[in-house]
Formats: sequence, C-alpha cells, structure tokens
Amino acid sequence: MNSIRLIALLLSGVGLLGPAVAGDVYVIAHPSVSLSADDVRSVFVGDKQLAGSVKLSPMDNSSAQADFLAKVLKVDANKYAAIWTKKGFRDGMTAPPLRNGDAEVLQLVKSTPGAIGYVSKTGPDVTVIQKY
Amino acid sequence: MKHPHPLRLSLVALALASAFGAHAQTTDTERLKALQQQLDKSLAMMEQLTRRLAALEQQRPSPAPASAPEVGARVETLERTVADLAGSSAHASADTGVPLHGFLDVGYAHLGRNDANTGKPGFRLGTFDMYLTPQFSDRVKGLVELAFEYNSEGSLGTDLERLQLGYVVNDDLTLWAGRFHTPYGYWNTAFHHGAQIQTSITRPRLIAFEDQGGILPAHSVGLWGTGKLDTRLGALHYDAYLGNADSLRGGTLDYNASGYDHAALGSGFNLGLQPTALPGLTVGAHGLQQLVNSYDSSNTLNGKVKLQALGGYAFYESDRAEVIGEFYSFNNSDRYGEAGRNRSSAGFVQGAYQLINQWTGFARYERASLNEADPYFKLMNTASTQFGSSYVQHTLGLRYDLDPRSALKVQAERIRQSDLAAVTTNALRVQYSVRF
Repeated sequence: MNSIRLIALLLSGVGLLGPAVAGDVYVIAHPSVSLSADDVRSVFVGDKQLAGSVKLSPMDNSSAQADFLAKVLKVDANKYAAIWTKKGFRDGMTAPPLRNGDAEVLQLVKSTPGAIGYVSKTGPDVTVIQKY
Repeated sequence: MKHPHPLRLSLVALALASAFGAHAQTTDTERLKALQQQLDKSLAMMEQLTRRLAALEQQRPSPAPASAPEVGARVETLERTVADLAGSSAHASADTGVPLHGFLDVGYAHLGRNDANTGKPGFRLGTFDMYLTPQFSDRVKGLVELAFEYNSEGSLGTDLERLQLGYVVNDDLTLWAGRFHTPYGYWNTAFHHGAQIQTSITRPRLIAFEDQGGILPAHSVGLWGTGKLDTRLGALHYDAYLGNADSLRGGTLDYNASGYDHAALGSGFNLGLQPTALPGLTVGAHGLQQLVNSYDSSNTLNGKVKLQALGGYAFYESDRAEVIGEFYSFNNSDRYGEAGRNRSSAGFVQGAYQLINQWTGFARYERASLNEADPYFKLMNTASTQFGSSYVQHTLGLRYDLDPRSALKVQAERIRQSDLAAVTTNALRVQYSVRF
C-alpha cells in the first residue's frame, strides 16, 4: 500500500482520539460506584457527595470539559467556576480537580474507589454511567 | 516496495495522538481550523520523512523485519510505559496540599457626611479574605477563613472569620461545629466577605457586620446542621443552629467567641425551597432568638433583651438577572427594665440585570423601622454609633466584569436616617474586587 495513503488513513483514525470538538462524552466511574444518569449533574455541582457509603471523587477532564459542560451541565466554563466558588465559600467544598486528558482520567477512575469522571472515549475496567 | 515499519508507524501515531490531545481552549471553529492546519503540516512532514526513508533504505540493506512476537512485546512495553506515566502524573497531582482561595478589594468613597455608619471618605483598603477547605477524610472536613481589614480608625484588624469542623452524615445532612456565618436570609451565607461574588459594593446596612452597624448577629459560635431534602415540590434547604448568645458592648454586637458570658444560648433556623417548577428561584423563611445582655464601658450590665426575629426571603437568579429580598420582623422583649415588648421591622430588595456583555446594573431599596423604645436598638445608639436608628436607603450602581475573577463597581447611595437626628447622607463609592 502507498505509504502516504497508509499514513493518511492512520491520521484520520488518530483524529478520533483528539479533542472532542463536538464528540461523545462518556461519564465513567470506578466499579465501586453505583449511580444513575440522573445523579451525574448533582455530583458535578456538589449536591451529591456520597453514593451509599462510598465517598465520591469527581474529576474534570481538560480535553473534554467543554463538551461535558455543554451537554451534561448545560453551563459555560465561567458559570461552572462560579458554582464551585460559591460551594467552596459557603459549604467548604473543593472543586473537582482538573486532569490532563482521557488517559489520566481513565487511569485514576480505574484505580480510585469512588472516582467519577468523563472522557471522550471510554476504556476497560470502568463503569460507563451514561454516554452523551 | 517495502512497507513502512509497523512500530515506527505506531510511535508516529501515538505522538500525533498526544499532539492532537492537547487541551483546546479556542472555539470549535478555531479548533477545527487549527487541527486542519496541523494535519496539513503533519502530512507534508510525513511525505518528506517517507522520501528520506526510501532514500536511506536504497543506500543500505534494511534490517530483517521484527517477528510478530517481538512486535507484540514492544507494543506491550509501550502500553505499560504510557500507563505508568499516566499513573505517576495522577499520583503527583493528588498530593498538592490544600487549595487557598479568597477575595480582596480596594476602593474609594466620596461621602457627604462622615460618621461611624458611613465611614471616612477617601481611598480605602477593603478586606483581604482567604479561606481553606481541607478534607481530612471521606466524611470529615474543615473550613477556615481569615480576614484582614482596616477599621475606621486606621487600625489593622485580623479576624478568624470562620473556623468550622464538619462531618458529612449523608447527602442530606452536614454537621458543623465552630464559628460560622449565621444562616439567616440568603446574603449572609452566600456572600459575606466575598466582595467579588456579590453584585454591589456594600451589603444592605441592616445585615452589615456587627462592627459596621449590623443589627443582626452575622457570626455565631456553636453547632450548625445544614442540608437539603428532595421533595415533590423541589429541593428544600434547611439550617438549624445553636450558639453562644451575643452581648452588646459599646453599642456593637459581640458574638462571644470564647464562651457565653451570661449562660445563654441562642438558636435559629432557615428553610428555603427551590421549586422545580420555577428554576432559579428560592423562597424561604428564617428566624432566630437569643437573650442579649448589654454592658457599659466599665463592663457593668445595663440592659437585657430577648431578641426574637422572624421573616422571609427570596432569591432569584437567571443568566442575566438576580433578585434578592429579605424581610425581618422583630418582637423583642425587655428583660431588664420596663420597656415591655416592642415590634420593629426591616428589609431590603435588590435587583441586578446584565445590560450588555460584562456590564450589570443594580439597584437596592432598604428600610428599617426600628422602635425607639426597644432597648435592643436603643442600646446600639451611643455617642459614636447610631446603629439602632431607623433609616431608608436607596442604592444605584454599575458593575463591569473585567474577567470572571475581577470586577469594577461604582455605586451611589442616599441614606435618610430618622429617629434621633433626621440626617440625609449621600455617598459615591468605587471598588475593584478580585477573587482567587
């Protein structure tokens, strides 16, 4: 096969791994977490801290945050930051840490009980709560 | 024609994947354009590399291609390395300590009159407020807030605004112990010393801080239970607290951080409903009661009043608008002299609307009708302070958000104070506030 065609084919496939400009968002969680899709918003605005006896550890994903905020929370980045500023100031809560991309989020969610995050492409050993 | 080495292609693909995986900060259109440009550059580079590779391979014999097991082993090693890198990055970022947040503001005030209620005119340093929210375990957390500010005499005061230790019982209940913002109305717990997050420059005077003319105890030391219940009508937020009763000293409320001085505890509640049918709206009721002792400058008891306040509030917020209203009805009874029971009322309503882009206009009306015979308010009026006087205030202002974390505000006020001396004061204030 022509090497240029092969590389172009690979690039078109690689493009799917890049930032989800308008792509899917998968909300994933550690297998210890039992949550419904309806709970996702509550978790990421600080209204839900526990799933049964498990302390939830939500995390943001820098490469998929724009899509997540638009599709799931339906707020922009400034409004999201304002929500957590008020939560922190009034209720002593800490905003979800911002992780650097799908690989880090997948690794952390897989290995941290209570972890919940979102990625543009899911992976093994995590529970998919909802696909948006 | 020889095919490109599979491992080399995988490595190039992975490198390109991480290049494309960089965080996108621009709009979708700009991101697409940037991606397209990157893709074009990468294709051109690939073409060059392929020609170069072909030329090199013609010059010398190529090594024998790796066998399938060798390729598999190399890919497995590569996957393990990537996973280790991701894991160590995650572990490193998990141990970053406790984030520090806060607010600070500076400003200028032009006042038509200089008194303890309005402060001095001129440039002024506002409050440097910082807070931490450490999480000690899955259920135990804390909130520590420290504020630095100059008083009207120019002395720098340090105030441990909040020192709370909390336990998360479940999603419906968190128990706190320590010093906290008294949970009445909406404003006191939502904004407090957060100058940047509140729309206007000043708080309504009736809920000002104790040392700035407030007639309500803005701080409490004791126990506080807070939570939220989901009902058919919507989310019901609740607060209930028990704390040291305040004392009046020099006309100012003292929340008695080191223990109550007259064996009395105060209590209060706040119930707020967020109707599902009306997103953005919260309507609520609140109340508090405590026995307040008053002491003169020689620490001699000169008054005792049972403070009882009941009222309601409403808060509405949308993308462009914000409305806050609070009302308090007082039914205080004299426990020292013969003033008996006295009724008073106070309230405010503030509306704000985003005019264009970062510009927000706001207006506020406040009114306090305080019974002159009520010793609670009478004892707040001293030679230097008139905190217990009835007043009406109109406020009009404009806010410009330079960015999501900083705001420039200008505010004009007209205050008409009645009772002892009918005085009207005008004020113009400017403030630059930030949060971090």
